[in-house]
Amino acid sequence: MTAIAERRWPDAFRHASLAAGGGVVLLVALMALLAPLVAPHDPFLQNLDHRLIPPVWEAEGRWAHPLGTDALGRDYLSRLIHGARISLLIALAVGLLSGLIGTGLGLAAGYYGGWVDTAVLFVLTNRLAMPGVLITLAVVAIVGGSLTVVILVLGFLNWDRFAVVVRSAAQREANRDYVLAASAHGSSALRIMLAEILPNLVGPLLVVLTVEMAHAILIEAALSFLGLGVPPPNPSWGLMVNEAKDHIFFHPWMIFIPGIAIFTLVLAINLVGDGLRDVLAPEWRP
Amino acid sequence: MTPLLEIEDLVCRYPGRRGGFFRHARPIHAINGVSLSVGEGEVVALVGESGCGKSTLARAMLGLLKPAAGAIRLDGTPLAAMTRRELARRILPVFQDPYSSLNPSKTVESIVGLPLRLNRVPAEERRRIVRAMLMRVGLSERHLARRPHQLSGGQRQRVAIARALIMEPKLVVCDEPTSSLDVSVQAQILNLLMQLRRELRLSYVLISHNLAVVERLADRVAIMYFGRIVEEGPAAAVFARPRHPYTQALRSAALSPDPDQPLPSAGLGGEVPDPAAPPSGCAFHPRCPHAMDRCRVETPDLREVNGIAVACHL
Amino acid sequence: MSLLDIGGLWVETAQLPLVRDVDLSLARGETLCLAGESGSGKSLTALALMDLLGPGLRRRATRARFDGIDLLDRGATQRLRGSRIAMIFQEPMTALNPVFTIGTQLEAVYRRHRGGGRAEARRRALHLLERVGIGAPERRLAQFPHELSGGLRQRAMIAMALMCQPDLLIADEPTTALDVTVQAEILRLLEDLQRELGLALILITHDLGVASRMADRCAVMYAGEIVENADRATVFRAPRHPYTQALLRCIPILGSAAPGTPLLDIPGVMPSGVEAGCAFRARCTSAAAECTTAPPLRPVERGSARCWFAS
Repeated sequence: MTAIAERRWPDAFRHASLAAGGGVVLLVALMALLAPLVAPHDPFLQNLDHRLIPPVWEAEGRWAHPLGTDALGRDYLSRLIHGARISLLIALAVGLLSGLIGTGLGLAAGYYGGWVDTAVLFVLTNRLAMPGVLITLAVVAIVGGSLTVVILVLGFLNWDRFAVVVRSAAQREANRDYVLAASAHGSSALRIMLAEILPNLVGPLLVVLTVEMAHAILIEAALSFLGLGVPPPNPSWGLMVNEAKDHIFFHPWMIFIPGIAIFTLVLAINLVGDGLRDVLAPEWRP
Repeated sequence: MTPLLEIEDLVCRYPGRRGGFFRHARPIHAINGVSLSVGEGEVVALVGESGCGKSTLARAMLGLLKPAAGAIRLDGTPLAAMTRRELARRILPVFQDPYSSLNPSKTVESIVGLPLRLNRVPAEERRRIVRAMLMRVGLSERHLARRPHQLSGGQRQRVAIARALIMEPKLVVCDEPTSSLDVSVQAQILNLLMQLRRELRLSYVLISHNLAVVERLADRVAIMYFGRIVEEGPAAAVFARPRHPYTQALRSAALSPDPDQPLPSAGLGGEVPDPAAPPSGCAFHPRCPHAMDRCRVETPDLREVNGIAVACHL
Repeated sequence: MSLLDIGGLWVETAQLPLVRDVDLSLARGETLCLAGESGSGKSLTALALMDLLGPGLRRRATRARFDGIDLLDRGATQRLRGSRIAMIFQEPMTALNPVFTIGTQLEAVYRRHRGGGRAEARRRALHLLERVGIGAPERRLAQFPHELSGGLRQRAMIAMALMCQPDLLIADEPTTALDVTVQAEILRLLEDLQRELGLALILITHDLGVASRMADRCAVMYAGEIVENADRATVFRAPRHPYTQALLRCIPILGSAAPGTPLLDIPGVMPSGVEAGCAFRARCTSAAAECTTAPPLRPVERGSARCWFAS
């Protein structure tokens, strides 16, 4: 009961998965933030003389391009570092947008109940009945792929988990006497939802946020791989995999490197989510 | 003189049990024609078992529930004509469970200061008033930055009382203020309530199932059963010689620590009826040891004799 | 010979003892009340007897025997649980399984411990439901726990506890969640059943009013220890321990004082950790220099008390 209230941060760091995941996410975030400083080369700079140089651990590798270069001679490490920006930007923006929508709907449904709840549930069921991936593909195919379009489409499609979790948590909180007390003291419904109930939902919200962020990264990678996401020459990890697929037999590392990057980041975010769940909201453990 | 709080023929209904998709069941009458008044500085107790409507009545008084019929007036003004804020300055609640009535994510200072914040009292002054109020309820500055889970049950209830009193209301509705506390702490809180009443000239509506607590605190008592008042009068007189069979049953079921007394012999049998299927006539007749034919048909009215009103055909 | 004999029982987490050095003994047909405020360790004591402590809690005892069987042997305790030692809880709704009917649950208990056919189990269930005062038992057998009222659920719980003819019934706050008029009936039912079946009863309660009417003997617990253990008359008429004395004075009694008279209270709160010396020292009005040494449970007139000054 007090698990949400007691934020035992020292415990959080003792938690191995949280520490490991948090470390990786922090590292990637730093890399993304400082990309122009950290990256050894310009990620867009083509050098056709230096095409398809393999990474250093292979025979022909050289230290000037630690992870090698792609088919257009662009430095792979620099593209990877800049690609982190896109992945994290998408994760944060989609998480924020879908979080706002889902939390808003969930809070209203959980707090008011009655017809508001029925209405929100109706919208939610409709949303769940829609084939998310197909709609994303269709919209992107019609409007054309860009970072903004991907963020908007994913943000408006993936709020369902937020809504479900927030709704049930808000229902539970709304039945507690402190909500009644706040109302008896003259708090408005909006104030009760935002200032009284919401702070008690931080735990479950953070957990869902991590899940959705990881999900967004994966979908963006998939879209970009299909050529429907971030348009070239942007260094999206998904796009890097796409561009590497022609070379899969002779230069498999070109696929492995961005693939491992996606895998590691998603795994790290999920580890953070799991750790947070244990620390902040044990009742949401699956 | 108009009483501080006046309730007239109040009826409150709930929609019937939420049944998933088919939600429109028959409405359940939680309060069925209750009239009651609370004078300035008076303590009126509502006594009854779970489901008798006492908590519903409290919510209606606080304006948290819209009555289906009847009127509640505070200082002569109908509740319906007051804004939430106006109401919140005059009548405030203290709830039973201080674990649930304090927001776990807030500090004591923020919980107690909330009513002030809602009324736009500047931060400096807010802090001063909150401190003074904490002293008054027996807490200290040390507690300002604590959160509810760092406090004991008794301390939490003191915080809840401080929050209720901070706008200097005239009337406080105490819903089972001590029933989730241990007896040694219960005594502390009851004494505090009595002391605050004297110092601040407060009126209380005290909801409790503990007759001994009620007798100690209340001037008048209203015994409720199944949404109606069945007996009402001065607390001392009602408990000294209960007239309604239900009051008598409550009186004899109250167990004081006394090694020489056995358990009360004849009980009522049965339980409070299902509100979805109310009994005919007097709602108490299925459990009443003195029930007559008339009780099954006719609902008795409250009739006053020597200052005590009783709803019974006997 | 006593049916239950417990000596030096401790329950502890990795850091902190929660129940300290509890001695209990109980004869057939006797009622022992474990009384105390929340956090005093009374429920943990009972759960430790049944070997039902949650994760993170350990028990140890110097002796724990039930009718000659060693309760420290977990397998033996498990066989006794539900058959010869039964337990009922404060909230029967959480103790009964919501997805099975009352009948299924009653029969399951019987068949698990006694074997036998469904018909036999059902006959016994019907008989017991009737015995605990549930009208129309056939209909009730087919109902689910949520279809019964609180009082009926507690009666069903009692019937379930009696299915295998236990020798010892442990009742943990059996009436706390019930209305007062229903409470009296459940208590009377327990009293009748006990007399009729020769049950030994451990009644755990925070309500001294209940304890004073039900107990043959009463053990008062404070901060994990038994502070006083004596017969009913002594505990409630002439208690020896200052905590028992103070606790009894805190309770308002109908018709005993004029309205508005302040109640006597015990200042402060129960300590949650272990303190040096007597646990009640900080709240005790007669604390003295001796109290910095923890007193043992000493024999006093007609019982025992954990106080240097009790006689």
